[in-house]
Order: sequence, then structure tokens, then C-alpha cells
Amino acid sequence: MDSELKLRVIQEALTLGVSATCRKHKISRTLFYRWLKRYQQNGLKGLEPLRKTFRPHNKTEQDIVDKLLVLMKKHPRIGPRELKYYLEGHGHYISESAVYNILLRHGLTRRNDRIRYARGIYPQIGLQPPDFDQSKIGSCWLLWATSYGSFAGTGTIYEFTIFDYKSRVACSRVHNTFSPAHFTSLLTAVAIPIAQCLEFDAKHFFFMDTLGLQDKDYPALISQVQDALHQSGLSVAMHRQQKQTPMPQLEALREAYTATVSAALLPHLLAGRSLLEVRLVLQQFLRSYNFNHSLVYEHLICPPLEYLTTATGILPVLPIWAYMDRQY
Amino acid sequence: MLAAYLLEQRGIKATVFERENTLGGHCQTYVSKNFRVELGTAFFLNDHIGELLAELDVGYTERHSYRDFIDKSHCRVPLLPQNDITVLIAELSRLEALLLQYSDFGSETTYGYVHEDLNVPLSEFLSFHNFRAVHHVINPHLSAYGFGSIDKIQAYYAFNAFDIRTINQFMRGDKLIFINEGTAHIIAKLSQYVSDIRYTEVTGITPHGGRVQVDTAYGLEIFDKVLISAVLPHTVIRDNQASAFMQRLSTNDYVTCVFAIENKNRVTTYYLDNLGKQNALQFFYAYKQRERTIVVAYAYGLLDMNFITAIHRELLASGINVKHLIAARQWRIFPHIPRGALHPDTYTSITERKESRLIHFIGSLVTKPSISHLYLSVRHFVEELF
Repeated sequence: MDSELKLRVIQEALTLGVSATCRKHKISRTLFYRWLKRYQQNGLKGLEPLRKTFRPHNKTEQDIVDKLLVLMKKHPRIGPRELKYYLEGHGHYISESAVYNILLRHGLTRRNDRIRYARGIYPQIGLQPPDFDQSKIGSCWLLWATSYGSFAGTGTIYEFTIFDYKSRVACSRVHNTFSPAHFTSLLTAVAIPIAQCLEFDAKHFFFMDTLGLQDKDYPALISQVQDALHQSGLSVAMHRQQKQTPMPQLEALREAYTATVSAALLPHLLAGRSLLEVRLVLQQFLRSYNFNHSLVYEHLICPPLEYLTTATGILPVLPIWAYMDRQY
Repeated sequence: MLAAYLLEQRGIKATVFERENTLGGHCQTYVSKNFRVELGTAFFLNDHIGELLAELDVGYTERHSYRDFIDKSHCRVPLLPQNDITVLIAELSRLEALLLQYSDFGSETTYGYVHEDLNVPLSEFLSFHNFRAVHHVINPHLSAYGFGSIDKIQAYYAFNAFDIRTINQFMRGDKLIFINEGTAHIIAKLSQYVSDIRYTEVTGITPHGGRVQVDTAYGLEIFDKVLISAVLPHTVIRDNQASAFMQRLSTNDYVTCVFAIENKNRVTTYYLDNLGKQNALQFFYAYKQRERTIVVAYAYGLLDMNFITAIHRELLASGINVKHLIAARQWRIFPHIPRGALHPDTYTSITERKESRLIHFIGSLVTKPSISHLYLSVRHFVEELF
């Protein structure tokens, strides 16, 4: 069954009753609840057929990729074939198409893009994740968007989230479309001012692969986010989750957060509320999440902002709007 | 300038007299190698100004700006304790209802009839009606905009500038408009459309047989009408009523100092303990441009060496390492009429019967000092009269 259809079944079941809906569609309740859980944790993407994440045995080693990128930076005007010959000079034998595929993964198949990348104008995206375990509170932020599918009153719903890895302080906004601009507005309207109040020193942004974005989609996204950061006088290293690379630790955080968000939003989405109403519900949820929702940290169980105060001694002084409903 | 531009757009010939070396009043931008410093107006709320900027083809960006508030000991404090937010929201709706009673209030683009109840210091008005939270929220913005002390400025002026909508915009932290090439760019664009600009001081304005004679140090000329947009010595105007109005106007001495500082991320910071006080830093605005960080500090008082030293010291105390001073500028802002001299009909008496008048007051002399509002009021004025 395709994911849209599964979502219809979930919507039907949650409004009209689970058992009856399952009988009607001839599926077991167990299967239904498995779908529901996956949907609540991952949005629409959780309803897609599971793909086995495997690492091709012939995948190019990371150090060869790094070397290739260094070479490419030195000789941005040449294409895959010549790059292959250069690599051979360094003792690495990979095919021309392998070189091309690596360039593709970095959005660098066009010569002009390579030249801009070499000049450093091009946003640099690290495929290596930052060292999360050693990170400080407020230094590594996770960014992702979750598609919830479409609902009668609200329309198609995307939830954009920025999440501090260590403290799990989070902010989210919902929109009807997916656009990089929604990340930047969340960043400038909410995340940066709040981060300033909490004395966060952002060093790394890690984009999680939740929408199945293509490699070519990233440069536009990253450069918009970088622009917004520059305007606020910040410079942050960008990273993204590599396709098909599971990161269980991060996934667990994201899924747990998304499950609480969707638990708060779903009743309203199913009741046919408008987008504006859903946004206010989300804001109330975020206040209760950050201030009151207890989470399990290494040594203590408390809400994110309390954890922050315990760990750093910073008493959050938040702007007035953080406590108010405001439309966007 | 704006009036001259709008008049020329309608095919009416206008002459602009400018006393200073540069046009634009508070729109002053200093440039140094890709770097721009705003000395006067730095940003505006987005109301109607967008239309004008699009018309003039002036590039702008909308950005969120972030604010900090610090107390006596330079510690960051919330503008309002969290528990008072609900109180504030309740007070705002009560205030909105209250202001509606003063019927024509806020609907006009220029100042009008001043109700006796509103011709009292704002702090008095707020405490009389028990608006404690509104007092806290409005105070830093009031002083930052050059209105002076909340204990002096009349509620009438304060609510004209900070109507419910504006207070809400500040609370929500709405986006502000920044002109890419500086606010002086607007003036430069306007002046491209104005064919007759004279850089000379006007020494006399005399009504003369249905027309007006304008004297300068070097000669005289006769015009159909005169629009005054700046504070002049009242003796310049040889018309009893207009001169009397000018004589009542008073301004606030305000200083902006621009410092280069060590690179550090700082947001706009208000000094809650200094609000409305003379010779004390009101707030500063910090921004980074091409690896240089600049602080623009605002304070009431008269510019001299001691003044700069005091501001410098206060910046240091709040953890800012100042490298050197870039510019300092004295302003006389916010033309208003002090409480004793302001009568209910002071403004209406000089704005009524527009058609038969020869001398008119426009701009910040008769309307609230926000660029967007100035634009709207000047446009209305021009549309109505010509």
C-alpha cells in the first residue's frame, strides 16, 4: 500500500475507530499500530516501504573521496576523466563514473559549481558528522523537516525543526510547503534569538535526511541558511546526513521528539483545524515541551530548559514573544 | 524632500531650502570601504514605507532584530517577568478599549485634538489606570526613540507613536526594514527627482498679498505656498499664528556615538536603569559587517568630551571592548509641545482650513516620528491640498 493510502487509513482509524477501520481495509490491528508508530515518529516518510540500509561493498573509501575533493579544489576546471588520472597519480584506482558519482553527491557535476566551490564561495557541506559525543550544550544543532501528509482542514503539513543535540531544547514551525526559506525563517525568528538568550555558541548544523532530499537540493538550502547566519554575524559549519547512513543515536532523538509533536498535533489535524490554529497549538506545545516536558538525560530526568540551567548555571532570560502566541 | 518629490510627481514646481550641508535630516549614513554606519534612523517597522521604497527602487532587507535588557549592574534581565506576560496581554486589551474612547485619536495621520486626559505625563496616565506591565514594556522603546523620560512626555504623544499595533509589533519581535545602502540612499533617490534644491538658510518667511515671500541671506523670492518641515527660529516666520506655534515647539537633545569595537556578537541592548535620564546611555545597537563590528550608542544630552567619555565607560562596564570612536553626532529630535503650552486645539488650529493657508507645517512637526508614518502623513497632506 502506498504511503498516502496508509495515511488515509490512519486518519480514518483515528476518527472512526481502529477495529472497524482495520476490518474494512482487511489489515490486522498489529499492522495498523506499527504504521501509526512509524508515522508518529517519522511523518509520512515512515509510511514508505522500509529500505534496507546497506553499504555497497564497493563504495569508495572516505579518504579517497577527501583526496578527490582536495584535487578538485586545486583543479576545478577539469572533469571526471582527468580527475581519475590525477587520482591514479596518487595511487588510487577508481573508475571515471565513480568520480562522477562522488561529484554528483556533492552537487559539483557542473564546472561553474566546482570553480565556485574551489574559491570557497560555494557553501561547503561536510559529509562527516561532527563529533557529537564531545560537543558542548548549544554547539551542535540538528535540523530536519517532517512531512505529515495532507489533512482536510489544514492542507499538506511540513514541520520544520531545529534541535540542540545536547540540551534537546527545540523549536518547530509548520508550513504548507517545503522550502529552504522556512528553515531560515525558523532560524532568524526563533532559533537565533533564543540561542542568544541561552548563550548557545552554535558551531555545527547537522541536516538530517528525513525528506529524501536529493543531493542537488542541498546547495540552495545550505546557502540560504548560511546567508541568514552571516546576517546575524554567525559562522557555522554545515553537515548533512549521508544517504543510507543510519545514525541510530540521532534518529532516536528525532523520533522521540517527532512522536511528542505529532501526539500534540494529530488530534487537531484530524479535527480539520486550519493552519493558523495548528500553528498556535504547536507554539503551546513547544512551551510545554521546553519548560515542562521531562526527558531522560544521562544523570537526571527534567525538562530541557531545566537541564540547561542545571548543567550550565544559565538562567534563561527569554524575550516576551517566547511566552506569547504569535502568528507567522 | 518627500513632499517636494510627491509634488513634482504631480507636476507642481517645488523649491527645497536646506540649512545643513547635507539633505535628509535624520537619514544620515556614513560610508567607509563597503562599510555603512547609520547615524540617525537605522531601521523602521514595515507599515507603508515598502511602497515608497519600491517606487524609488531602493533595495532593502527585512530582518529580525534581537534585544537584550540590562539592569544597573549590567546583568541581563527579562523586560517583563514571565508571570506578568498574561497581565500584559490583559492590560493591552484594556488599553485598546480605553484609547478607543478618545474617538478621533490615532485615526488621523497628523496630530489633532489633544484630549485633556492625555495631556499628562505617560507614567502618570499609566499608573492612574494601573497599567504596570505596559509601563515596563513601553518605557525602553519610548526612550530609545528619543521621546525622553516617561515622567515628562505626555500620553498623547506616546500613544501616537506607540499605538497598540506598534507595541504588539515590538513584543512579537517583528521583522524590521534595513536599507541595504543606508537610509541616506532614500534621500539620494528622492533628490534625483527634485529639480530645485537650494543649500542655504531661510531667514524670513512673510505672507504677502496672498503669496509668501521667502528671504535668504542672498535675496528674496515669492512663492505660492510654504511647507515647513523643520524647527526654525520662530522669529523667521512673520505670521502671528505660525510663529506662535513654532515658539511653543521644543526638542530633545540626543546624541548618537559610533564606536568600532572588538569582534563580538552583541545584540541591541537597553540600559533599563538609565531610561530617560540625561547624559546616560539609553541603548546601543551592534552589528557586524565584513569582519568589523560597530556599536551605535544613543544617549540624551549635549555632545562634548566628557559626554563621550561617560558613554565609553558605560560600554566598557557592560563588557564591550571599544577600539575607537568613529563618529558622534548631536541631534535635536522629536519636536513636541511641553505640557503647559499644549492646548487641546493647538494642533487643530494650525492644520484646519488648509486651502486658505499659506504657511503649512508638515512632517515630524505635526506627526509621530516614524519614517513610515511621516511618509503617509506627507502623502495625505499633498493629496489633500494639491
